[in-house]
Amino acid sequence: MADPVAHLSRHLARLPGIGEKTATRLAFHLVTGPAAHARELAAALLEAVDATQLCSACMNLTDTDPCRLCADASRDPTTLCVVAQPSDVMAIDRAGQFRGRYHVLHGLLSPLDGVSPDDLRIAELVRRLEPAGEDGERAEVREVILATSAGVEGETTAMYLARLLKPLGVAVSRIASGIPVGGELEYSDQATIARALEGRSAL
Amino acid sequence: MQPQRDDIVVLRRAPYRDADWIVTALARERGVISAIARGARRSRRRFQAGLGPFFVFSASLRRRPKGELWDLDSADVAQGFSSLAADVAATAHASYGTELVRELLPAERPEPEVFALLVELYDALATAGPSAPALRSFELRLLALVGLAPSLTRCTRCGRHLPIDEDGEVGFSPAQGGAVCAACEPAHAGMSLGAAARSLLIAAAELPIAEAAASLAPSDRGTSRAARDAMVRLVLHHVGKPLRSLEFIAKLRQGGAGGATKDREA
Repeated sequence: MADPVAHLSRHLARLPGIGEKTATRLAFHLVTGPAAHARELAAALLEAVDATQLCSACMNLTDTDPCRLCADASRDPTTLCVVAQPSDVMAIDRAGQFRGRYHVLHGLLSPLDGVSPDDLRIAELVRRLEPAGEDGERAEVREVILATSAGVEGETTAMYLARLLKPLGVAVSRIASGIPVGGELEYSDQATIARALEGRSAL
Repeated sequence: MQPQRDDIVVLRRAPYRDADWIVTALARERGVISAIARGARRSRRRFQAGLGPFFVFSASLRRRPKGELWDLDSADVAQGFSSLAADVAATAHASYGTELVRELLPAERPEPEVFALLVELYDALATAGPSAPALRSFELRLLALVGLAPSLTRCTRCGRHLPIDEDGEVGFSPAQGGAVCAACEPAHAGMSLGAAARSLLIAAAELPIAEAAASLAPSDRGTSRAARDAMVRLVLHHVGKPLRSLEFIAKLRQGGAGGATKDREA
């Protein structure tokens, strides 16, 4: 393989979900296709990297600061939904059920992977909930919804945040977990069923 | 290759391609194995509980024709300790046990007693919460099972018996593998170990984890810290590299991000 193509292939193989064979296929596709397409892709990549930053309020990826969600006056500023990744913001917002604001942690606590509280955007979250400014006026947030995944890391992060945030005087809630909509009990594992029973609600 | 069933605990998993996990697991009958779990990040039906840590899975495994990888075809939850996640310190302690097993065991050497010990640790932490004596018991019994038990009652240099003297300290040398007497100490000990801390370690080495947690809580933090420091230095000497879970525990102890677990000693 020509050196520049091999070089490109090696870089593509660093992307998540791209193996060596797929990287090689993509590299050949890019260099044998119209040169204009490759230039447009390179330009779009550079533009995205240069223009993207973290929103100073919610820590989501954005090209404006504050981001569009934080700047949207029609959203409820008293409810904050805490998620692990920017992609989680998109997933929750797509559902159309939540009209509050977000906070992105950029990861989950994981002792096995060495991800500690200092590695996440937790300090920024706490700052959003503390009294604002010298006049002592409280921040607007009244409820924090912890929307981390139902795995061990997500649960651990949620429990850690709950202990940290409750003393700040905000209501802290956790998204429900258990049997998915349309799911069959027969095919659910015991941990999921146990969780669903623990989190049952009165009708 | 015919599928074979074994109980496994996941020690590490890393994403591979779009939907797979590469898993390092401790299998009850096969020891530490590496396996590829195809589709595991999508299929909750074949791979329950997200193939996460702190579960015992009943797994279907197939040895691949070439190489050292196994195929992990399915994993059903056999025993879960998900309540660990309710306590960050308990999760951190369970992670430390998991990481220690991963680092100390060679590949594919059957160690059913280590498997049972790791599950015993998860159970004790899920039931009674995090505790320093529980970790000491786990560390010492694990080291004994892999042939690295420290000498706590005899000098590792000259073999002299070292009785517990209430006021007396002995040297403790990770490189030498345990206690060092006063005559040998100047040249060979890395640190000193008080009588109370040494007694705690001797007792912890003999007790089930839950019993150590219930009966060995030292009256002063100094003793607990001295026992911890000795064991951490010993463990790191044997592992030969920093452990991520230990660094995590140290950060929690320092009270990072609000000190939510400042009161939990490891």
